[in-house]
Amino acid sequence: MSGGGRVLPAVAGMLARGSSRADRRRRRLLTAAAAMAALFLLAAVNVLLIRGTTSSRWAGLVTESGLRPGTALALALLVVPPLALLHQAGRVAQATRERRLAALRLAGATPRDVRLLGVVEAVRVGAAGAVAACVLYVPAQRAAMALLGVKDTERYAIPLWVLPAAVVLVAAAAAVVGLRVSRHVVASPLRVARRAPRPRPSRYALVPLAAGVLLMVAGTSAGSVDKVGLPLFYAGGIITVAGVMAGAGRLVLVSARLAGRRARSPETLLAARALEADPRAWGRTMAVVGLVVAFGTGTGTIEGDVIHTFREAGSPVDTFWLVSFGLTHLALLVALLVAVTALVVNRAEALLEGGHSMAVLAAGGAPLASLRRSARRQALIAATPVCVVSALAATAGMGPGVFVTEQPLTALAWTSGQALLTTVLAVAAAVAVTAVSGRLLARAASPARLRTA
Amino acid sequence: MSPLLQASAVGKTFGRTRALRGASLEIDAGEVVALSGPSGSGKSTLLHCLAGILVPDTGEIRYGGTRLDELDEEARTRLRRESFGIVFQFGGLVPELTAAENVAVALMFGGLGRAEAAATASEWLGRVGAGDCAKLRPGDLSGGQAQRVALARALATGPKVVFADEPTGALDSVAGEEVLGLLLSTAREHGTTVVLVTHDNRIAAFADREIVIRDGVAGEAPAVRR
Repeated sequence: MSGGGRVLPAVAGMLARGSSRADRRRRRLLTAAAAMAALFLLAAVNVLLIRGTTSSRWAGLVTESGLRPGTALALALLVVPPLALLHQAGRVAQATRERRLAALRLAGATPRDVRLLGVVEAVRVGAAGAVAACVLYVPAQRAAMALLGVKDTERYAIPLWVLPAAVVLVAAAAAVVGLRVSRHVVASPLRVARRAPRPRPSRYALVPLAAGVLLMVAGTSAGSVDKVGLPLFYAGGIITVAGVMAGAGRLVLVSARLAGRRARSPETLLAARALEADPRAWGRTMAVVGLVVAFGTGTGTIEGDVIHTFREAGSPVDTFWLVSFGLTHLALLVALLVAVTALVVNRAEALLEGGHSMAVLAAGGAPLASLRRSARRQALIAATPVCVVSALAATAGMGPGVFVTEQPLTALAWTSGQALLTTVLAVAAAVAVTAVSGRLLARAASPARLRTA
Repeated sequence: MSPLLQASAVGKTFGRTRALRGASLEIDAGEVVALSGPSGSGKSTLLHCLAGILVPDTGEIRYGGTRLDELDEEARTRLRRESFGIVFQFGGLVPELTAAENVAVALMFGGLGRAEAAATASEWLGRVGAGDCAKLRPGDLSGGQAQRVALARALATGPKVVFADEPTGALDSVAGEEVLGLLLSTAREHGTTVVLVTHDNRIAAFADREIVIRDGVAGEAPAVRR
């Protein structure tokens, strides 16, 4: 098969047709994640391509040219959680496809073919999701404009050339995700398929995060705001975002080690050791949750300043701002929802791989309630440090807030309040989602399953 | 004296497959009993029913005076934790825990504190000859070492009955006999009842009594009494 890259799409098609119900469910999840990523991408590009300014109390984030780059950036950032979900779901599919991949090796496929199969399948679902998003976006936008009574529809409608470009872009992103997911899989013809062992996240993974926060603080403290402060602040912000993504795995590892050392109950010990063994999987998911916390915290500074300004002036807060805040919170909630969905997928993957040992524990008398508690503690041990550090990073970076506010103390209070709120919400969401996946756990850890294991 | 374990006309069906069709047996306290038979005969299913892992569709399972098949999942879990030890073919160790933690965690589920559980685990690993592996994770253990650790986990809680499902199935003959010898000598030393499933006559020969299961239609069939 290695002689023909042309054969791979056909093989991928055959595999898709012969897949199980669980496989099909995973593929639907992948397609939905790709569609969601494409929808946010289309919306971001759409906003960027609008020209001119019109006034609107309800849609100022879109109609005012000065606010559009920020809105587009926020929409573009919303692409990240669905991509994380895509990545996570791809890993699950990878784990369960191992047997088939080994059979393909026996049939003559090379390791390269096997990895490329992952890419081909990812491109298929990525493209399918993107096409579905395009089909949905255009009529949905028209309907929304009709509903809102928008007169100048041509100005706001998405140019049609954007649609195929978005499909290509999302499919390309899916290909990268597929390649990333496949790159650690070594499938042997002897039905032994494994992920190559990965080094644990190094302590240096936290350096970008620290550097980003320091740059933001330096930016906000700089005397010359326009020439030095703002560039430093923005550079720091970008590095902080990258730092949260890069450092989350390390934070999970450190937290797991501490929890493992201090564990007094079997639940905590199991949870901590499971995290310690694979901190990257949780780190990936928690990084997106951490970003939601960081952005949520940052918005607190701006909200505090705006609300304070209106109060000082003795007037009610303008509808434009209220709508903007509402939309921002909605976007953050959507991002959090997608991120915690990736957590369910992460749990499913872990249970697929580690369900047998859980079932053996249950057979030996470990109560299911204890195993559930252990899963919740796993979420708590992983989510807490990432969310707290993200909130602290954003508070430190935005806290002084010299660019956006003349009331640093008020802004700091709002920032801290929002930091606390988003952290609690994010950690609670992570724990709740793990609790929701209890049915998966019950099935995976059922001792009766040992009969077929 | 009434038997410790008793199965009466036990039937179990999975989908269209009738794994057990009325199996009956009695096992006394302190006995070592081998359930043997060809692959697919239903011997593992019977062991799982006796251990309270599976609930039979028909018939009765009694442990002491208690009807296992009438207990709910929680009560059966408690019984397994307090009275049974279980060893599987591939050890079934938690891959993320060290050998010592694998043994300790079973004790902690039984209510022991971590320090006490760690000390007991260390003692039991020494007894089964796996003291050197205490800090290793299952991925770093040989099949024989992993099975010794699994044995320590099953025995450390002080069970009344040890159920072993093909405990030497994944081992070579030397390692298999060593592990089995350990299980039986420790069990006899503590008066523990052992029910082991095997399709290997040489392994079955280690038991006090062998019960042959065929096509799930086993009655009390003491094919060999030693």
